[in-house]
Amino acid sequence: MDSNELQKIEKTAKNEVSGAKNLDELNDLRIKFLGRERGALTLVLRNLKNLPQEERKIIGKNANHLKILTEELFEKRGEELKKTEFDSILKKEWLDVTRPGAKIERGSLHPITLVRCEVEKIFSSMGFGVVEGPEVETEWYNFDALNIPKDHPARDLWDTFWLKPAQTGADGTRKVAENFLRNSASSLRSSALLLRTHTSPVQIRYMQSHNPPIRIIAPGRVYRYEATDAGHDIQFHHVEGLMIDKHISIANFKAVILELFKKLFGKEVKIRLRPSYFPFVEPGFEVDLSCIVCNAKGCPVCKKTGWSEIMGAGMVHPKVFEAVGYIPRNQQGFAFGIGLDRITMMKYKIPDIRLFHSGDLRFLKQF
Amino acid sequence: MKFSYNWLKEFVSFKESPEKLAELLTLKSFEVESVEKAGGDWLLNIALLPNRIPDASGHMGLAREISAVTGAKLKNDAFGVKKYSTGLIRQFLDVKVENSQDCPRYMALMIDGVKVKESPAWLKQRMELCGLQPINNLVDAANYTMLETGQPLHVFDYSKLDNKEGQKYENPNHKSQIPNKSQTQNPKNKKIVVRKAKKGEKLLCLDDKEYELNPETLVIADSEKPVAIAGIKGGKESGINSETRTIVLEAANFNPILIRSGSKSLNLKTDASYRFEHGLDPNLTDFAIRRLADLILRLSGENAKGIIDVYPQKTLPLKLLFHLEYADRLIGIQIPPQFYKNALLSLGINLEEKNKTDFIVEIPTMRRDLIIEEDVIEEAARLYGYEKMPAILPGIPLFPPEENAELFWENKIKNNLLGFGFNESFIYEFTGDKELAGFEEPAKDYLELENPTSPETKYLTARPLIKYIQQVSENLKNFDSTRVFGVAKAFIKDPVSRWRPGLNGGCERKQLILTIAQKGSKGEEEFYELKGVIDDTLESLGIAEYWYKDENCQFPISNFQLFHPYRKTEIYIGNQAIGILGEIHPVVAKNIKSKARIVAAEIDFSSLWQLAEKEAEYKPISKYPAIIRDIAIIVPFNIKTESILNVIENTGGEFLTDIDLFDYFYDEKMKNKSQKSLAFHLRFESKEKTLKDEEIDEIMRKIIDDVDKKGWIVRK
Repeated sequence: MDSNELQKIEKTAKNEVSGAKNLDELNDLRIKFLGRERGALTLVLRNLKNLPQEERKIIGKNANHLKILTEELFEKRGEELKKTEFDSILKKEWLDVTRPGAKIERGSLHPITLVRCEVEKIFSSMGFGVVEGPEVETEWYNFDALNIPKDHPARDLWDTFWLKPAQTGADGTRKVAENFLRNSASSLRSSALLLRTHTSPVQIRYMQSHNPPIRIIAPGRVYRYEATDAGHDIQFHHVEGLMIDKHISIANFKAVILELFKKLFGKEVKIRLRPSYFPFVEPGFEVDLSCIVCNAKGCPVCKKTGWSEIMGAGMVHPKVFEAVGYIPRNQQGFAFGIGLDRITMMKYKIPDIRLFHSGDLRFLKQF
Repeated sequence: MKFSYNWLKEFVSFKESPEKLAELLTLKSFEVESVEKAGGDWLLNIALLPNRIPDASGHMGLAREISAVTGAKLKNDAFGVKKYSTGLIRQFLDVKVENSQDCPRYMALMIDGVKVKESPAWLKQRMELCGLQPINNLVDAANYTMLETGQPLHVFDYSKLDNKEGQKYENPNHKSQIPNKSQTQNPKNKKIVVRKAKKGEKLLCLDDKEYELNPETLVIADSEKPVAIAGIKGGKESGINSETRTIVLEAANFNPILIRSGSKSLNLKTDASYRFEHGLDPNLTDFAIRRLADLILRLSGENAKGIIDVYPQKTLPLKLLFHLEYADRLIGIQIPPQFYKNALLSLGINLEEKNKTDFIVEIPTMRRDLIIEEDVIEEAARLYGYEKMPAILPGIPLFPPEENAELFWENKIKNNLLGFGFNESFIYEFTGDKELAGFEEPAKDYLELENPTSPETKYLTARPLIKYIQQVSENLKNFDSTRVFGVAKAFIKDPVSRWRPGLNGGCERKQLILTIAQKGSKGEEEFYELKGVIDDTLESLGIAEYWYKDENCQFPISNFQLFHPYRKTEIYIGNQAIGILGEIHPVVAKNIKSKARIVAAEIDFSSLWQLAEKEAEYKPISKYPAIIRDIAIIVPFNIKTESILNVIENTGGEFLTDIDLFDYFYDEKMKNKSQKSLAFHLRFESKEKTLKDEEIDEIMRKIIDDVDKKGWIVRK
């Protein structure tokens, strides 16, 4: 045993450890050099006691040094090999990232619900409450109270579905009208039943039970007796608005409506008021919105005018205040009616109003 | 309504091009829908507002409007008419108006020696431009004058008026009527009587159709029979033909309601009836009849025999107070008094300044639409220009809007279902016999419409569910699985039979409909899936007291006929049934050719939202660890899960805080033995201490004992 032998071990260990190809090989080498039984270095250390003291001291020191060195070698190589082996495991876990993502079925809300909620949110932020009312209405609420008397040609503006009068229920005696009227204040007035042609009756019902100041919108389903085509359906959706106080003016109406459209369409829009006639308002006007498809440049949607007709509005007629029992001239304000279907069609560029009630999931799933 | 640009220019000296004029009128008066070039002229198609028919439906009236919006002067010479004496006509004709309410004014003018021929080219051109068919010079003159003045006019052949029983129509009932000079009876005279038709009277009209008149129809009659339907259509026999020599011109004013109902009951709309039903100015007849006489005399040079005017109660101009301050307040800005003054004057509204702040305005009788102060304010506002008014946000006290709880919950539910992958759909609220038959629904329970547009809209739907099922079935042609929901109205004919007493606030209720369908599935999984969705929906509304019941149901049996008899349950909150969950009956599914089984729920949203609880509260998490034990039990196949849960709960005691069914299993072998296996996680927890295993072992032993006692097998 001499220092030559140690040098030889050192050399072999360095060569062999750095040449180990995997953790198993490395482990065999560990046994070869550092194994408890027959490891080369173990044997050297075990034989120290047979050496003369002088020599034992030197060789012992060198051998211990070599042992530490060799252990470091093993550790270093071990780390290297672990890393390589993990890499190869990861490599086997390769994924084709170009494969399409899994289809998770998401639900959808109806486009009219989406726009309706948007409109409700905008008006809520301006202090408007949201009110609903019945869809089967009496003639009085739908027409008379709104200053549209019977036999007046203005009634022709609203083609109406009427219910068969005096239908009896399953028990054979109950008149249907009584059930519908149970909660209404108009038991003896024009009580023929119809499908409401606008949500304006809701403003009448609301004013009957509330005093000014009033700020409400009334969204809901309305019905018209008419031939259907891409632009017309027998049932659609309205939002009626009503704002009443001491000094509410046309100028106020313009500001509130501009705010609605700016927020709804998310861009600067213009509105235009034209004189019009609705029996329940005076003055009355039609509101045109600068075409949002072409930014008022003129396109087929707006028939090259740059404007699209979007709502009817006006200052509430004194006869309407009279009908709900308000004192004339004690209040003033505006009312408007807007077609939700029309706005929704504009917003999402939907070409046919009949899609809304088709129930077709190929349409509904897009929203 | 159609107007000739050149014709308008004869009455007012405006400079605007047809397009510019159209734009001005659209912004300040009413919408000009189109401008079309026609030869050397332009046709303006104007959507005249219904309340402007009385004053602006003739070229002269529209010219006045143009003068107001452009500031151009009217050509007064063009509005001239000749005078006609009341002279000779009274020796030939008597006019009697039975009820001046029906006919406030009746004028007749007689012309002798006319020659019936073709109209001159210029007249025919204008008529055709305005959409009227030229016939002969007399009829055309009447129509032309209508287009000019807005007053419908009629021409009778005097020789065709009957005089056989001259005295017959001296109705004793009307003796009290104030005698009128022009109504003096002369037995030799022919008569024109304005009266209601008699039962059974018929009239062959100029359109060669015979109309059956009813006692509500106003007619123009001679001594014998009707010769025209007042304000609607002339009779053929008394009309103009090539032999006609002596004519009677008629310019009258009729009660608009009578004309409208007459026109509706006869289903006969004419240019004349359209104008009359909008209520014309009685003072217009005098001008119009003279204008017509002038034209006829000019066209074939005959002589006029005088005029009769029955006008017992004159219509006078209305006077109103116009408060400048109120006008400013309604418009929302200050407008100079001088502007108001000029604007109103330009519209022919006379005014005097009562004081510095108020005008007294006098409305010309042709402006039938100006009745209240607000009407006059509109006139000033539109001439001022809506585009010039600024947008000013209202300055009002801040207060938050009243919250609509029903809508809040509706939106909450919708968003929940969105998260569960449901698609919201809307339905048509109508149904017909064919659809109802497919669902075996009794049509007698459905509200019927008076005027459906088609057999498919004969009824209002009482069960939105069937509309949704129909939609699902359609969608299964394009999709393998569907999850569709919606909130819709149910129109219920008799609330007492369909909804237990106490629920009937009306016949109209909001319903929440949920559906799941999966092609190839036996419907079992979908049933429990939908049940889970309902559980979560109710919990998200803060409702804890919900449960399901499958016998002794509250809803009438008829409500369940749509469902699979062994796969349906009633949904309860407390002791109130709020809906039904079940699989749609396979027979129904087959009837509507559905490609899959459909599981659906029909929930009365109108009661549901009122039971919702907004106040969610945090429940403290126990500081002590929970112990979970599992138990699997084999039971006979027909034992309800609820019965097993009852046994476990009863024995579990206060520490048992949750039971979770995590496996519900049977294979062919078990099915044959009529067995199934249910496995539960039992969660034990205490708020006060750490539970010891021994304590729980003891409870589990008791549970197992009780299960054993039932004859069920606990799997080891």
